[in-house]
Amino acid sequence: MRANQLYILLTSLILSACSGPKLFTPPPVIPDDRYHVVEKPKYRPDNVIKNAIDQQLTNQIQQALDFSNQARIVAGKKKESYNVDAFGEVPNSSWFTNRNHVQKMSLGKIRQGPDKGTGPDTSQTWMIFKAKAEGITPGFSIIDSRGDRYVIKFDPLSNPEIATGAEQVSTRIFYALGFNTPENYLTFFDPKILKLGDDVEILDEKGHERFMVQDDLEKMLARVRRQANGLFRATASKYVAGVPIGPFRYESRRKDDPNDFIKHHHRRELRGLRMINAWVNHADTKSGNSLDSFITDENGKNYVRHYLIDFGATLGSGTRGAAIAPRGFENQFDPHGLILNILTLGFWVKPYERLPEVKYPSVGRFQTEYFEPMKYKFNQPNPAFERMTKRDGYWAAKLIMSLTNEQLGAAVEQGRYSNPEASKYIHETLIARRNKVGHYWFDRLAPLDKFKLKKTSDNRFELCFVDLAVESDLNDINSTTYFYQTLLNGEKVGGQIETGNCIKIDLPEIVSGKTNGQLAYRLHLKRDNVKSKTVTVYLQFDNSKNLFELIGVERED
Amino acid sequence: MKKILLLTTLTVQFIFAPVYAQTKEATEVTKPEPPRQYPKQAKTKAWWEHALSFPGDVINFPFGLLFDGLGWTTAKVIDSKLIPRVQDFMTADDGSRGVVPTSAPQAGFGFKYYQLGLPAKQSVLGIQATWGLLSRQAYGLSINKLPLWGNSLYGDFAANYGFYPDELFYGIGNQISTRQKASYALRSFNVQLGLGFHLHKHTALEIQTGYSTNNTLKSKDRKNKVITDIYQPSELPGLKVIASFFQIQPTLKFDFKNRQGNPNAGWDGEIGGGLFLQANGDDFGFWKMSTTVNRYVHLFRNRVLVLKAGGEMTESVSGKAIPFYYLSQLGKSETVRGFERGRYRDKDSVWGSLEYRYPIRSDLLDFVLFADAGQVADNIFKKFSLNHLKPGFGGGLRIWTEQALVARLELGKSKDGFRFYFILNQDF
Repeated sequence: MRANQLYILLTSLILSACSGPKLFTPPPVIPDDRYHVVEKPKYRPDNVIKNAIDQQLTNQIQQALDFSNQARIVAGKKKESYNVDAFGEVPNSSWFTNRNHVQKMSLGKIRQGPDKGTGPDTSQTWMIFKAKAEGITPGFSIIDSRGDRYVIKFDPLSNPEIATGAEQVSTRIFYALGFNTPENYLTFFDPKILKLGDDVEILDEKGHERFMVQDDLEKMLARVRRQANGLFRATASKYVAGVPIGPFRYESRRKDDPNDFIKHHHRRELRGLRMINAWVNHADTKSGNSLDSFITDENGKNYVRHYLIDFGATLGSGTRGAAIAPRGFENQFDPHGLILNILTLGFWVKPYERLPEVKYPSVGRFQTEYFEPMKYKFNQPNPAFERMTKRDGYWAAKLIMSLTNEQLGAAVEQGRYSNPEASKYIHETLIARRNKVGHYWFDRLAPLDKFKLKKTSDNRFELCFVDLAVESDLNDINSTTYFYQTLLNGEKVGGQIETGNCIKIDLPEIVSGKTNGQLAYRLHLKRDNVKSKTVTVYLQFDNSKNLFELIGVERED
Repeated sequence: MKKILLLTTLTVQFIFAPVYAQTKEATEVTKPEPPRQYPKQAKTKAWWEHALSFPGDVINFPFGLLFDGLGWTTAKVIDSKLIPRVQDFMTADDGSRGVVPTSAPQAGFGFKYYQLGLPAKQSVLGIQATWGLLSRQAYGLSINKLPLWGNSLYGDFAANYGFYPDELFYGIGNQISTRQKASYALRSFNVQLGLGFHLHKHTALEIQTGYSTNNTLKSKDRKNKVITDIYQPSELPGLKVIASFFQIQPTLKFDFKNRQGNPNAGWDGEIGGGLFLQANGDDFGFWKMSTTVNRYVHLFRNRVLVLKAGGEMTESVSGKAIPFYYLSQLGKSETVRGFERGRYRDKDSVWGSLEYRYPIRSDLLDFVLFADAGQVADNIFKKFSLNHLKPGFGGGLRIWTEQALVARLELGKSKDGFRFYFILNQDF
C-alpha cells in the first residue's frame, strides 16, 4: 500500500515537472495603502541605542538562525520584494511616488524639489519654541511670522556649508527619485530676528532639562560661523504636514496602521534605498532619519505618510565635520572588519586608508575612486538593505541613472556653495558615482526597459524598448547588438533573431486574431561580445479590442 | 401565539424603524468615512519556511530576550542622561578639572583627579587613589610643572603612599627558577621635590630630591610561600626592616616624538641616576643609573615599528647593602611582558623590545604585536650574553587619542606562561 502511494506521488511529481511550458501570470495588483484611517497610530519614539543594538546584534543573530532565509541565500533565491507590479515597478504609495524615472522632471522642478514656498520669513521675528544644545552642531525650532514651523540646523564650525549644502542637494535628489522628504530651505538670517519663546525647555549636553535663557542662545550661536555680511547660513526644515508619530523601521510593520500591510524589509523602495544611499554617501541610514506622519490629504483622507529626513550627513559631510574616513567602508561596530584587520597584521591597507586629504572643507570626504556600490557599508546593518535582491538593485540603479547630468547640476546648484570649485567637484563626483552604480547593475541585469507597444503605419504592432545603458551614455550603441526569441504560449517559435530597438510582431496567427494566445519576446543583448541576462516581455492579444497589451516583464537575474 | 408575537415584532419595528433609520443616517453624516477594506497583510513566509525556521527561532529566543533586555536597559540608561550627568559631575565645562578612571598592574583600579592651573597657571594638581584585592591600595598627590622662573624653570612635587600585599620574590640572579617563588607585602611612602629646567624645546633636565620609607611585611597572599620562611634578614637585605632614605635623582629627558597619544615618528628617552642614602641608619646606601630610549619608525599608513631599549645599574655606596626591593628587576609591563612582576632581580638589568603597531580602527584602536627580551646580572657589562636573555612575546590592543594613550590591553607569553596586562589612563 505504501509503495503504491509512493509511486503515485513520484509519478505526479515527474508529471508536474514534465508539464508544458508555464504561461506568465501577472502578480496580483498591489493595493493602495492610502485608505482612510480613523484612529491615529500611536507615537512611537525613536530609541537610537536600542535600534543600534537590534541592528548590530539581535537582527544579525536572528537572521543567521533563520534557516529558511539562509537556505534561500545559499540557493541564490532571495525573496523578492512584495510591492512590485508585473513590470517590476513600485506603485505609488504612502512611501513612494514615481517621479523622474517615469517622467523626466524639468530643471526647475528639480531645483524646487519638495519645496512649496520660499522658506521662513527672514524679515520678521522668529520665535524659538524648541531647542537642542546637545551635539556638536546646535539647532532649534522656530515659528515664523506666517505661523510656519521649521527646524533650524547649522554647519559645524570647522566646515562651513558642508551640512547645509549636503541637505539641499540630497533633498532634491531623494525627492526626484520618488521619496517623501520635508521641505528643506537654505536660509540666511540675521540673529536679531531670533526671539526666545516663554517656556522653551532645553536638554543641555550635561543631561539637565531646564528652561532656556538668552545666554544659552548666545552660546549656541557662538558655535556657528557667521558670514561676512553678518548673517547665519542654515537649513530651515519645515515641519512635515500632519501629526508626527515617530520614525519608521526598516523591518516589520507598524501594527497599529492598517494600511501598513507589507513588512518594510520586503518593500522595494526601502531595499533599493541601499544603492541610492550608497551613491550619495548616506551611511547614517537609520530609523532616526525617518519620520511617519499622520496626515490628512487633499481629499480629507487620513493616513500615515512615510518620510526620509535629515540629509545633513550625506555627500562628504559627517554633520560634525567632514565624514570620517571609514564611513561607507565599515560599520560603526564591525566585528568582521576588526577580525580581518587583526589577522592580516596590518598588511592589508584598507581602501579608506588610501583616501586623499579633504580638499574642500565645504565638501568633506566624498570620492569615487574607492567607491564600490555593493561593498558600501552603512553605519549599522540595515534589515531592508540586507535583503536587497538583484532586481531591487537594478530598479534602484534605474532610478539613479534617470537623473541626468543637468538635473544633478541643478540639484547641486541648490547647495549654493561659495566656492564654485567645490560645487563642481560635488557635481562631478555625483555623476561618477552614479555611473559606477549604473555600470554595476546594468552589467549584471539586461538594462532593456521602457517597453512600449506601437502601431505601425501598416496597422501592425511593434514592441519597442530602450537600452538604459545606452540612453544614459554608459555604453555605446555601436558595441551593442540585441537579440530576441519569440515564445508563443510558452513555446519557442523560430530561433534567435537580431533586432534593433523595435521588434515587429509578425506572427500571422496572432495578428489575424486566430489565436488568443500569450506572446512573449525573450530579449538579450551582446555588448563587446559579452552576452547579457535575458528579459522576457509578455503580451496578450485582446480579441475584443483587436490589440495587444503588455502584461508583464520578467527579468533574469 | 405565534401571530401575537409576529404582530408585536412588526409593531415594534414600525415604531422604531424610522428612529433607527434616522439615527443611522445622522451617524453616517457625523462620523468620518468608515474604514474601507484594508489590504490584507502580505504573507512573507510559506509553511515550509516557517517549519525550516522553527529550530532557529527556538535557539534565537533566549538571545532575543537577552539582547532586547540589553538594548532596553542601555536605552534607559542613555535616556536617563546618567552618563553626561556623571561626566558633568566629574569634569569641568572648560576641561580644567576632571576625574578619570585608572588601572595599573601593581596599583590596582581607581581614580585620578586632575586640576589644571592649580596652584599656579600652567601647573597641574593631581590626586590619585587606587585599590585592589588583599587590601592593595595606593594614594598619591602631585603638582607638576609649577612655573618658577619664566617658562624655563619649573618645580614638581609628589607624595605617594602604597601598600602592595603580594609582591613576588623568586631570588636574585638570571637563572632563578620558579620553585623559590615567595611573596611579601611592601608598604612604602615617599615624598619628592623636583626642579626642572627646559634646556631646549625637546629636552629637559630634572632633579628630584626626596625622602622615602619602606617596610616589608608578611604577604597576605596565601598561595605562595612566605618570604620570611625562606630567607633570613641577613641573607636578604631589606627584609623585616623599616628603611628610610634621602635621595637625589637627576634625569635628562628627551622628547622628539611627533605626538603624545600614539606617536608614529621620532623618539623619546631619558637618562638618569640617583643616590639613595639611608636616613634611619647606616646599613643601606646605593646609587642607580638608568636609561630608556624609544624609537618610533613609521613604516607605512600608520603602521609603526617601535624599538625600545633600557637598562639599569645599581651599585652600593661604600660597601653598604642594597634593599632587595630596590634591585633592578624584569617582569614589569614596561620591560619583558609575559613574566610576573619581580620575576628576575639583580643589581643590573638590560632589556629591549620590538613592537609592531597597526591600526584596526583608524584614529582610535591599534593592535600591537611585541617581542621583548631582557637579562639581569650583578654586572651586566661582564655577564651580558644573548644566550641569557629571557624572551617574552604577545599582542594586545591600544586605545588612544592624539593627546594620550587611554588604555593598553596586552597578553604576554613567556616560558612561565601567560600574563595579562590592563593599563588605563596612566599617561593622563
